Amino acid sequence: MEVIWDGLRQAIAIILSGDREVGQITLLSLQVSATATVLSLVVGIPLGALLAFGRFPGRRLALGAAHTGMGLPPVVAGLVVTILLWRSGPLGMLNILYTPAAIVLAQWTIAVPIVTALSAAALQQLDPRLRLQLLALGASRLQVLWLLAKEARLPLLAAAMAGFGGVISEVGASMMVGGNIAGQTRVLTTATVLETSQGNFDRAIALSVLLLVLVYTVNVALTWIQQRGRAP
Amino acid sequence: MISSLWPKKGAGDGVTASPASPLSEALPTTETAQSAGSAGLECHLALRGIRAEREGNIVLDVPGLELYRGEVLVVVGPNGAGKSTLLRVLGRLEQPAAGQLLYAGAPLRRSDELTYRRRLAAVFQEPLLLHGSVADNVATGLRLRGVPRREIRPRVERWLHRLGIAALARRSVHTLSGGEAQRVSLARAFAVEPELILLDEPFASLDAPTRAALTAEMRDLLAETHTTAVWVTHERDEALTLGHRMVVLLDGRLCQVGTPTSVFGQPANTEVAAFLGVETVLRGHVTAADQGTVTVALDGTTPPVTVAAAGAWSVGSQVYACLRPEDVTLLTAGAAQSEADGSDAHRAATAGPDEQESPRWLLDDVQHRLFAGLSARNAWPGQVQKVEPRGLLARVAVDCGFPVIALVTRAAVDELDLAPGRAVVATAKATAIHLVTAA
Repeated sequence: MEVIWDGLRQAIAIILSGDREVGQITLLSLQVSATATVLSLVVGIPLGALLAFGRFPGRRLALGAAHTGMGLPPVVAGLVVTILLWRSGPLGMLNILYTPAAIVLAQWTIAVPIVTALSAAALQQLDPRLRLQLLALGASRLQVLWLLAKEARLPLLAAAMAGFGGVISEVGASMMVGGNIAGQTRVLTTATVLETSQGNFDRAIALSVLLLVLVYTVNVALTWIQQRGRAP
Repeated sequence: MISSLWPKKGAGDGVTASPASPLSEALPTTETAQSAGSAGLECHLALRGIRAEREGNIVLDVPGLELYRGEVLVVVGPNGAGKSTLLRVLGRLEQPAAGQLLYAGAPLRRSDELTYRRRLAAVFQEPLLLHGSVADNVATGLRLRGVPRREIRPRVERWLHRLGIAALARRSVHTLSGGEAQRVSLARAFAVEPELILLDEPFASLDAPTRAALTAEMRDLLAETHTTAVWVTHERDEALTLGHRMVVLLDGRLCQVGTPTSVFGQPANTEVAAFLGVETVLRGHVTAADQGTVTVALDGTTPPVTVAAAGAWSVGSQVYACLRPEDVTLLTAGAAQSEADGSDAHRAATAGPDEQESPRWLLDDVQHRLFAGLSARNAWPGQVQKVEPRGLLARVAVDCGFPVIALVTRAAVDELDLAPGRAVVATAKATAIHLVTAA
């Protein structure tokens, strides 16, 4: 226990001192995971709508695949993205392996199935006649999707929170495709692993506390958006 | 009144198709539609060879159906008959497995679907409102069409006033009663000034007084705006009064189209007759025909019973005689006397003691007093089998050697002392009996 208390005291000291490296790692974590989450929403919500309302062969199989993808191990996503981005891989010409862009791509791969499956569930719980009503009111397909997403904003924001929670906390994929390079691709989770392996528990605890604060802050912000206009 | 409800189209109104669109040539303006609507003959929409399927089963089969500008077409049928599917096909909300939708004579192309849908509106059984205020909801269709904001507000206010919900404008839709919510749905539909409005049992989930009020209001609105409407209902009584024409759908098949009077008066077949509430359907063959009145001998009756009916049929035709319960009058000896004496009372309490009553005695009495010289009227002696209360009315089953169902007032049940075993004479005018061909 003493180690933990000491670690916590030192963590607070590090945070309050405005440690530049820790700040840079925190900012990069937020940038990378937020970008991956937003991009996963851009793809996942329309995909979820397709799975929720589409009538095509294999729809149920695709939905099952999305559900399976929710449990995609980050290291598997990391492995796939590494192979894709490897110099001799199909996307090797992009030359982005061991850069923040590679981490975004890996985290996006992890978040898309989560957002897709939860979006499909969120949209399917709406009254199916609402879609017909909107079409009959003269909505284009895109307008229908936008209005339905607004109607399902509570569960859709929950999907966004789940997506962000999934990627900000993963370590395997970020380590594999980012390489944990100091000042370039080191994020809170990979830095925590490194500090722990070196026995720097105070710094590891400081980074963990920052990670928790970051996750909490983002989720509070999303919850505030989600619950606007509702009774306190 | 029309001019106050239909303002001139704004420049940004998405209802107008782009100049390059062939649909813009095919679709006349709303104003043209209104003037044409008064003629009531211009074909607005037509279905050709429509077939809709669900999991390989045919749920709608409409070889052909026309919808004229300005008319209200009522679609009736039991649950699962394909009424809502027909509405979705008409609104291009569902793609049929086969067939064409023709707008103003031209087949509607996929590329024209959005423009087409922006000329219509729909009101479903549930209000299906979006999260937000009443005013926001009424503005939805206008916003989707890209109507400029400065035009949206007055149009929304006008329709909120017209539907009597102006005071609710800022209220959240979650706080509305069922009737209020459906008024919002109606205002939202009319605010886009549709050429065609699709109504899918819009008031079915409301209580009876609210339903009656909104139905009357809807009828007024359609008359004021000359909007072409397709109104789905499973209430047969509503079908009689709501529309110019009606369509009967049974098991996905279009069984009959015509004016309510013609469909109710002359059902195309026994299935339609049964759905429209014709409870007495008797098989027989025509034995005599004379000057618009035919005599039908009913099959399986001993001694043989004949029925007088109106119509032009050749002797030997196999027919079903259809009789609506409300067209059957039940009489006892006293009632017959009252009518023979010229009394205004349609049905009166019997004066005859029970021991005197026998069907044959009653028939003789009734025929002697009431029907002397009246050839085109039927009178069948029988005994009451069952009396079932139906609200203010009662359904009375009478055994006349064949089953006859009558619908009488609860007061008449008391006055005539109708109960199982009671001897009565069931009478019906020949013109009330409709014959259909027996397969």
